[in-house]
Order: sequence, then C-alpha cells, then structure tokens
Amino acid sequence: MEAAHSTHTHDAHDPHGHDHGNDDHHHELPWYQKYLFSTDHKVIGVQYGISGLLFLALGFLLMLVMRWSIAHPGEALPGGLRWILHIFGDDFVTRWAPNGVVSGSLYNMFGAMHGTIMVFFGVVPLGFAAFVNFVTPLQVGAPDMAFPRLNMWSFWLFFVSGVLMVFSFFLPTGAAQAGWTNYSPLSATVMRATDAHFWTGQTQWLFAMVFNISASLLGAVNVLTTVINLRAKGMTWMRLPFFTWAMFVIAFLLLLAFPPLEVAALMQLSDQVFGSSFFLPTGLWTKEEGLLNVSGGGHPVLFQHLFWFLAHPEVYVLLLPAIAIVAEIIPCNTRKPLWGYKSMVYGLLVLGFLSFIVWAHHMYLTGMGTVVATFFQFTTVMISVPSVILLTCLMISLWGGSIRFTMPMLFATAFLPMFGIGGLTGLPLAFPFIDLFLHDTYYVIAHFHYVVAPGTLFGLFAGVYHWFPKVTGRMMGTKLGHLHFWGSLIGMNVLFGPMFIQGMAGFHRRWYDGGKSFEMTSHEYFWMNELISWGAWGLGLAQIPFIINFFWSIKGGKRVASDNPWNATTLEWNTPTPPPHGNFLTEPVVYRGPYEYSVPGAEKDYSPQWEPVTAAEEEGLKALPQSAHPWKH
Amino acid sequence: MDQATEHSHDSQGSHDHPIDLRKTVRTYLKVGATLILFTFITWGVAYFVDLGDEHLNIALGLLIAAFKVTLVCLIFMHLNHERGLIYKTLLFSMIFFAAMMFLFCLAFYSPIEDSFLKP
Amino acid sequence: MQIPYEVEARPDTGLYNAKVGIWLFLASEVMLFGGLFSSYVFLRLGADFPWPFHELKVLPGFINTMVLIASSVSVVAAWASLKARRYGWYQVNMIITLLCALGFMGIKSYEYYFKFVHYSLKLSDGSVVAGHPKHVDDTHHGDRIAFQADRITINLKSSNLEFLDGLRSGRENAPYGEPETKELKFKTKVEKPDKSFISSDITLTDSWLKEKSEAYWALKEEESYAVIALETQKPLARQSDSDGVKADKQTKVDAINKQIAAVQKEFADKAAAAGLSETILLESAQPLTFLNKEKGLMKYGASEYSFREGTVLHGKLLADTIQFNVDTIDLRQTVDIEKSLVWKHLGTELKQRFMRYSNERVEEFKKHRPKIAEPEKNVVCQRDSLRVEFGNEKKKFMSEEEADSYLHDEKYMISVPRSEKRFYSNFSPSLSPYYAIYFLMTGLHGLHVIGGAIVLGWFLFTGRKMYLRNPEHLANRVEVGGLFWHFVDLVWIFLFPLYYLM
Ligand code: HEM
Ligand SMILES: [Cu+2]
Repeated sequence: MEAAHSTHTHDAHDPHGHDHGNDDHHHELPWYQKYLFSTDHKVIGVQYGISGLLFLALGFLLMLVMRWSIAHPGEALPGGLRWILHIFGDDFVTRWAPNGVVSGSLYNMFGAMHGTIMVFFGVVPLGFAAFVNFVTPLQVGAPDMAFPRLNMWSFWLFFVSGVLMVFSFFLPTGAAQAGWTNYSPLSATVMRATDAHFWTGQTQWLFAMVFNISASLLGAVNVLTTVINLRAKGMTWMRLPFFTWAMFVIAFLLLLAFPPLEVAALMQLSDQVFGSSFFLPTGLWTKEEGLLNVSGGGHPVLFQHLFWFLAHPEVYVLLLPAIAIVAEIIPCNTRKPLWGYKSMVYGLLVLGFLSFIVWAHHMYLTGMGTVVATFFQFTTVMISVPSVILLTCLMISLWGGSIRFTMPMLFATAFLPMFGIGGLTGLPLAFPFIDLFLHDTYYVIAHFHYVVAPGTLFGLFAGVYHWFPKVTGRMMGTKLGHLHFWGSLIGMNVLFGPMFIQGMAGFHRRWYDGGKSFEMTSHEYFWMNELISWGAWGLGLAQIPFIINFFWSIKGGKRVASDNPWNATTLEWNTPTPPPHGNFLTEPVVYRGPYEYSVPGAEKDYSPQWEPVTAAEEEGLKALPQSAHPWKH
Repeated sequence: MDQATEHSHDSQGSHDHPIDLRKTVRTYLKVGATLILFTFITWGVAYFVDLGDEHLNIALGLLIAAFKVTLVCLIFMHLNHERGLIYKTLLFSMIFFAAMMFLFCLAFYSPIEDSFLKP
Repeated sequence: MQIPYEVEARPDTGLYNAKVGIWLFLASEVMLFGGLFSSYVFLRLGADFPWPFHELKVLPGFINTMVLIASSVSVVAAWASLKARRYGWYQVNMIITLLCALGFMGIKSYEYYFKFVHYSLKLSDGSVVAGHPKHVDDTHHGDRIAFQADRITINLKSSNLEFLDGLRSGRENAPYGEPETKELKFKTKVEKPDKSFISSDITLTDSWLKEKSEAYWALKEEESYAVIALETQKPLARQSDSDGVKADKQTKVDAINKQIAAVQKEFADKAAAAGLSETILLESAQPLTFLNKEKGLMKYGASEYSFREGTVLHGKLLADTIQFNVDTIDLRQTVDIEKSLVWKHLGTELKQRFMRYSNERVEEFKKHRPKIAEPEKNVVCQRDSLRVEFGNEKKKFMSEEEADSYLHDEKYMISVPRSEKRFYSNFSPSLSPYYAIYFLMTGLHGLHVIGGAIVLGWFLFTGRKMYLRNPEHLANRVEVGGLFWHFVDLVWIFLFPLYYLM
C-alpha cells in the first residue's frame, strides 16, 4: 500500500548508481563541483539554507549585544556575552567596546547591521532562496531550475555580498551605522569626519547591497522561468501547490521592486565616491565641517521613496515564504484539503499587486501632503484584506481536521496567532494620525518583529522540520524539537510583547541606553528593558536544542521509512530520498489538485498528485453535493 | 552556409515557418529609416517648434520618442505577435513604473498644507 | 531527466526558456530605468537651481542615436539571417552591430572627457561662470591653493601622507616627484610636562609615521578604556535616584567629570614623557611650497592650512585664487545682475554687452510670447536672457574668434579669490544633481552597451559550432541577445531628448 518507491529499493546513498534518463554530465563529479560550485538546485538550496541560518545566528548575536546595552547601559558586557564581540577580533573590541562597554557607535553599527543581515542575508536567503531552490523544481516536476548555471552564479554573487557585508566590521571606520534603511543625508555624513573618506563602512554597505540585489534579481528570473516553463505534464496553474504559487509571487516582487533600490544604492554610492548630491539638500551643515563643500540641490526624500518602493514589497518577501510553508504543512497534518485554495491564490495575487503601492506609509512624517497621505492610507488598509483572507483560510483549514501535532505542525499552528498579532498591530500604523505618535517607537519594532520573528521564523522552522527528511533521508528528533518550540514561543513573546507597551509610552527605537539619559522618558517602564532582554537570552538558549538537533539528525536521526514520510500529496515526495541529480526517475505526470486529502471513496487518506483519479474516487465525489466539496481535480 | 542540415528541431519552434530573408530585412531597414527620420524630427522640434509652454514642448518631444520606442518594440522586438505571457509580464512592470512616476509627481503637486507648517 | 524547452518552445506558453528569462529580465530592467526616470523627474521637479537646458552638445548625442538605431537594424537582421540559415550574412550583420557598439562607446567617452575638463565656478552671490582653469602643466592648474609652510603639525590619530601630494619641490616649474618628497628632513619638537622640549631630527616617511602613530594609539586606547568606563557611569548617575533632587545628580556627574579629567591628565603626562602627543610639530629647514586641490581641504587662513585628515600646515598663504578663462556666464541665480561679482573680474565692457544682449532677449521673448505676464520671472526667458555661452548664440553675443580668445588668452584670464567662491567643480557628477543623474543614467546605459556587446561578440566568435549542431539554438540565443540590445537602444531613445533636447 505504501508508495512504490522506498528508500531501500532506491539506495538513498548512491543516487548516481541509477539510470535516470540520458543525462550526459552525469559521471562522478569532483567534490568541489558537487558541493561547492554545484549547479544542482538542491545543493544550491542547501547552500542558501546554511548561509541563511548562519546569518540569522550572527544577526541574533549582534542583537544580544544591543539588548545588553539597552538593559544595562554603561555596564561592561558579562563574560557570557563578551565573546560575541571577540568574534570580530581583539582589535575590534578595543576600538569599539573598551573594557567591554558598548559604545554608542557600536550600538549604531550593530543596529544597522542587525537589520541588514536579518532581512537581506538571513530571512530572504533562507525563507525564499533556500526553500524555493530545493522545493519548487520538485513541486512542479522539473529536473532542475531553468538556468542551472545562472543559479550557481546567483548563489555566489550572494555569497560575495555576504562576505563584503561582514568584512565591513573590520574596516577602520567600522561597519555602516545609519540603520538598515540607510537614510541620506545621515548615511552620507556619518563617516565624513573620519580619516578614510573614500572607503568607509557606509560605502562597503552599498557595495554589498548592489551585489545582493543583483543576485536576487538573477534568482528571481530563474524561479519565474522554472515555474512558467518547466511545469510537468498535467501541472496546470490551478494545480500548483500554494507554496509554489507564493514563491512565484515573491519572485515577481523581487524582480520588480528591487531595481529601484539598486538605483538608490548606486546613487548613494555616487554621493559617497564622486561627491554628487542626489540626496543632499542645499545648505547641508555638519558640526565638524560646517557648511559641506557639496553642490546640494538634491532630495533626501527621494531616497526614502526609492528605498520603501522596495522595502514594503520586501516585507512581504519576508512574510510570504512562511505562509507558503504553513499552507503546505497544515493540510498535510490535518489530512484535509486546504480550505479556500482558490481564494488564497487570488488573495495572494492581489496582495502582491497592492504591495507595490503602499510604500509611503513608512514616510507619513516626511511632510507629505494630505492627498498623498490619504492615498497611501487607503491602499494600506486595503492590503490588510488579502492578508486577512490568507490567515483566515489557514485557520479554517484547521477546522474539523484530525490534527497530527508533528514538529512542523506545532510551529505552523503557532505561526497563525503570532502573525495575527503582528499583522493586526500594523493596521493602526496605517493611519497617519496614529502613526504620528507611534512612528519610530518600539511599537513599530514590536509590530514588524511579531510578523518576522515569531511569525516568519516559526514558519521557516516548520519548513526545516518538514523537508529535512527529504533533504537528508532522516527525521529531526521530537524531544529536542519540543524544547526548541516551547522555549522559542515563550522567549519570543516575552521579548516582543512588552515592546508594544514601551512603544505606546513613547520609547524611541534607536536609544542605545534604553532611554536612561533622557529626563522625559516614562520611567515606570524601564523595568521592561530588562524583561525584554531576559526574553532575548531565553530565546537564544531555546535555539541550542535546535542546533544540536539539526546537526545530530543529519547522521543520527531516525531513517525515513519511505520516500513520503508525511504521506503528503505534492510532487516532491515522489522522488527518491534524497533526490538524485535530475530529480525524478520517470517523467512525472500530474493528475489532480495539490491537496487531495481524505478524498471520499479513496482507499488512503491522501491521494498524491501523481496518482490518477480512480473510479472509486469519482464515485465518492459524485455522492457529495457539487457546490460544497473542495476536491476538484 | 546554407547546407547546415535541416534539423528536426526546426519544425517544432514557434516562429519556424521559413523566413524570407530579403523581405524581412527590407522591413527592418524601412523601420530603421523611419526611426532616423523621427530622430531628425525630434531635433527639429526641440529647436524650431515652440508650443508656447515648457510642459507642452517636453510632452511633444516625449511623444515622438514614445512613437519611436513603440516601433522598436513592435517590429524589432516582435511585440506585434508575441505570446500572452510576455504582454502580461510587461503590463505589470509598466503599471508599477507608472505608479511610481505618478506618485513621485503627486508628492510635488500635493505639498503639505501651509496651515500645518505655521502654528 | 534533461531540462526541457531549452531550444524548442513549450506548447502552452509558446516560448523557450531563455526567451521567458530574457523578457522577465527586461521587465526588471524596465523597473531599473523606471526608477531612474522617476528620480530624474523628482529631481527636476524639486530642483532649487535652474535645470540645465541645451547645455550638452547635441551633435554627439544625435550621432549616437543614429548609431544605435543602425545597430538595432543589424542585430535583428543577424537573427533573421540565422533563421534563413545564412551564416555569412549573420556574421556580417553581427560585425556591423559590434562596430556600432564600439562607435557608440567612442563617442560617449569623447563627450565624457570634454565634460571632465570643463569647470564651473559659482560665486558667493550666486553668479556662475564656466570655463577652463589656467593650465600650467599636466598636474597643475591655476586653481590650486598655494601655501608655503615651514612647520607642519602631524596628527598621530589620523594624519596620512596624502597631504604631500600637493607638495611642489623647491625647483621652479619642475613637476613634483614622489620619491623626493616622501623623504623630507624635519626637526620635531614635543613639549614635556615641565615645559621643556624634546627635539630631534627625523626623516618623514611612511614607516616613521606608522611607528609613531601606533605607539600613540596604544596609549590612547588605554586611556579611552579608562575614560569610557567613567563616562558610561554618567547615565546611571543621572538615573540612579529618579526621585532625587536634580542638584544631587549634578554633583555626581561633576564628580565623574573630575575623575575623567584626572585620568586624561595622567595619560597626557605619560605620552609626553615618551615623546608622543596627539599632534607633533615638524620644522623644516627650508620652506616647502604646496599647491593643493580643494579635495581633502578642511579650512585655511593666511597662516594655516588644515586638511580633513588632521594635518595642519603653518606658514603663509601665497595664493588662493582660481585662475580661470571664461566661456559662459550664467546669472540666473544672481541677486543683483548689475552688481554681480563677475563684472569685477570681467570688466564693464563685457557687462554692458551682456546687459544689452539680455534686454534684447527679453524683448524677443515678449514678442514671441505676449501672453506671459512677467517675462522677467519666466524660466524660459531667464534661460535665454541671463545665461550666455560665448560664441555659441548664433554670433549674437560675440564672434567665435573672440570667444576663442576669451577661453585661451592669458589676457582675458580672471583671478577669483576663493573667498568669493561658493562652489567649484568640473562638469562631473558633483557639479549638480542634473549632472549626477546624467552621468549615472548614461553611465549605466553605457555599461549595458558594453555588456550587450560582449555577449553578442561571444555569439559571433563561438557560434559556428553551435550553428552546425543545431542552427535553431544559435538563432534563439541571438534573438535573446538581440532583445536585450533593442532594449538598450530603446532606453537611449528616451535619454537623448531628455538630456540633450529638453
Ligand atoms: C497587515 C498589514 C500591515 C500593515 C497595515 C502594516 C503597516 C505598517 C506601517 C504603517 C508601518 C510604518 C510604521 C512607522 O514607521 O511609523 C509599518 C512598519 C513596518 N512593517 Fe508593517 N504592516 C503590515 C504588515 C507587515 C508585514 C506582513 C510585515 C512583514 C515583515 C511588516 C513589516 C514591517 C516592517 C519591517 C516595518 C518597519 C520598517 C522600519 O521602519 O524599519 N508589516 N507597517
Ligand atoms: Cu510597509
């Protein structure tokens, strides 16, 4: 009764022993071509995944240092945290944190780099690049990405950008210090007074970003072409798993929203290197230099427009992978079809479209006129409609299912309320008259962290647990998994919950001492600074079981019993485990929709896409009222 | 070079009906000539035609440029007979480009009210 | 499994992979140039300076438009030749395309070059003149700040030897040679705590500076350790008893400040005892002449010249004038045209000529556009009447020969003291947002041309093997490369009117 392919018959350790199609470049490759400069989408997916996880860890450590400074300003980092600074070498510590005390510049530097690394080097590579690379070609039934060599190039471009970004810590000026948003003219002037005018941390940040953006653009082209042109026979658009739909939309967001940021980055580079004034207004003055010797006449607000034109779609690039993953995991673990697949797809498309025209809700306080503000308020409120549709469909999908709380499912269920909190607290911010008070406070920080951290990250963890058996042929352990899950859930909420309150009390998002040196701060909320930091340490501890679990399970996890351990329906579970080069043994053919669980009349409680519709199933469906049932092949 | 073997692929491609080189190239040359003609016109218009308003002059120049670009797109880039998918993709980028341009301009035509600036 | 649809089209989309890919890429390129065009509009709408109009020479841009159109025809013809299986014609057309690309880049570099050697000088009353600084020799123009120094203060925290780039060796008119200048002999003096001096003879070299500054840094770091540890107690002190009296907090902070001062003094003594201090004064036996560019300048006066990196020259200012031959006057931002600073330098004869010219233009404008109420305030009218390129206005302002001598004759050279200057730059991105975005857009476009030419060249030189194996494959590749090429052409079709004509 089990699927025809089991790991045994396929000998998972030597996929190359098989004859699958006439793949001419198929003799044994040297190790560096197999694991390093591989053109295989699965290897590249894993490469992205590992780099993404490493960057997430780095970003997290930077944050721990910042949290220490906020909770205990002026006190030396305790030994338990000081090693984080020593990652960057002893010289770094003497320069930026004498005696282990976090200086203001160091805080700014870590703040900027935390945001940048988390968004552009952590979540996007893991959530989008890794999952899309590994899963999407499998789900559409393709042998690889459409342009495998280009795929390798994208990864290595991304890798170079990461190296550039991290190495900027070692520059004499230190890394960038103007926030992840890198607003001009702050970014243009913050390092002007230092001796290395030409090559500063700010300049290097821009260089790294240009590389990163180019890599994303190439990756997006590849993904889109793969989905458009390499779908297997029978894989119609409305039979695409929701995961792939979401990745398709994300790729479009990257493709069309990133170029304006590339433009902005090039303009800032020109401002830095050639002394132009794209974003420098007339009469710009600094304490060190007085009136700057630049032409002026540029517009700081132009940078914000270009930046947010990308960065709002970018927040959906951060969120959608999680929704995509959760939408795969929920039907599989409730043994029910995804509720409202079609409305979810259309909701997704509308969301993607609208996300391009809401950007200036980040700029209400730049002095925009009422017409513009009203427009953006309107679109921002509009965009919460499709978001709510997605969330509601996922919630309803739980209804009446016989839920298996496997590790992925635990994370997926936790994702729903956490994202709910994050999304709903965004709504008030959509209104300029409320944003007036909440802009640049901890409220905003809490809002988007609820979306990205307990939201997106939980989704991504769910994905890691879900596809780990396909990648390695072994399951991740549940005991450590539970430790990871509950620790993270508590840590996240202790960490981000109080920020809403602090934000509404007016705590500014960029205070390096948590507001202690300001007379006017609401003193009664200072204790939360420490509470939040405790949450952060706790969250950090909770990741240790995950790390152990991850590495241990590669070699020591429970072997999967079949190629389809979760009894799922989508095509990636139809490949040998792990999938060999070229993926499928025979050309896959798709006969039905992606989530046909518990089809009436079927003998199993799941009917995979690659199995033809049986007569019994036809019979079973006929018995149901036509209007109601979700199993339309 | 014509002796290159008739390949089996030839019959499968999209535009693979054999091509009349002379006729096609003649079309391309005509389009090229039109483009050059209109380049002269753009120049002449910029120096010798004055519609009495800066904005109109700019609009006229851009209109001519848009016409030339349309020719390039339709004939050289074969957008006069392309697949639906390509139009859809381009439609989206055109929409977002237009939105960006429009909203950038709007920022200037709807400035913050004076009453907000003066208490 | 093999990746399908690499050559033949997928039946339902009707496209092969590379074609899907290139169109997606072009969609993203639309957004890239879309972002640039939108920024252009934003900068132009929001400009607080007169947006340049007809300042670029039209002819090169015009020729380049032709060249690109020609290459567009040839590249699509190359594709058609492949479709018709005429490899020879394909090669011919491809070669034409590449030659066009080469020609385009050639003309572009010529344009860039002449922009870079042309300078604009904005005076403190808003008047602008453009032209060329006096040419003395290859490395020296008459726009340098001449300073004679006998003492130099080196800042061990930040100085580097870049300031020596402006040094001109004692021999008159000799170009300044690197090796000689980097081995300068000095006497140094460091004040000891007891007010006596340590003097020594040194040779100023990279290694000397490095050694000294490292020693100094080591001390300084130790000090900042101690200071920051105290400094960061301040927020705590202010905070410690939030209900306490303000004065109490202040006394605590003052106490910390005192400790800090003590620490600083202790380290200052230590440093001085070791012959180190943040700044070291070097004395030269014979005076050194510097000719400095504005780059790296912080400020200067009659007896001091400070670089941004921290070095200070002491001595006397020899000259800070910008010696300049003028080819354009632009008074659109001048408050009072009659009293503009330029007349001080260019003389009343030219002023009268300018005023006459200006009035004529205004009259002409009134005749032309009678409906406009205040012509003097109209942008177009100002552009016509207040900005004049010598010799270029259909000989109405001055003859070409005269303009030529204004630009080249020493006798027409003006000397503007830097105190009268507001901003000085060549026609490069730094001159104004207009030139910034002009160079950015055309530069990016140029990179696209180069990239496209490399790809097409690759198809030309390596295509034969593929052609023999599967001619359709090569045709597809050339089609894809051609699509990119047409896009590049298309961008230029917009760039040309936008920058050259309007
Ligand atoms: C559900 C609808 C959402 C609405 C109405 C909304 C609204 C807003 C608004 C108005 C702001 C600007 C606040 C300010 O700076 O004053 C904001 C900030 C932010 N939002 Fe959302 N948001 C939503 C969903 C999301 C999602 C799904 C993400 C995904 C990660 C996200 C990420 C962010 C980020 C990162 C910021 C802050 C950026 C910064 O200033 O550094 N938001 N949101
Ligand atoms: Cu947003």
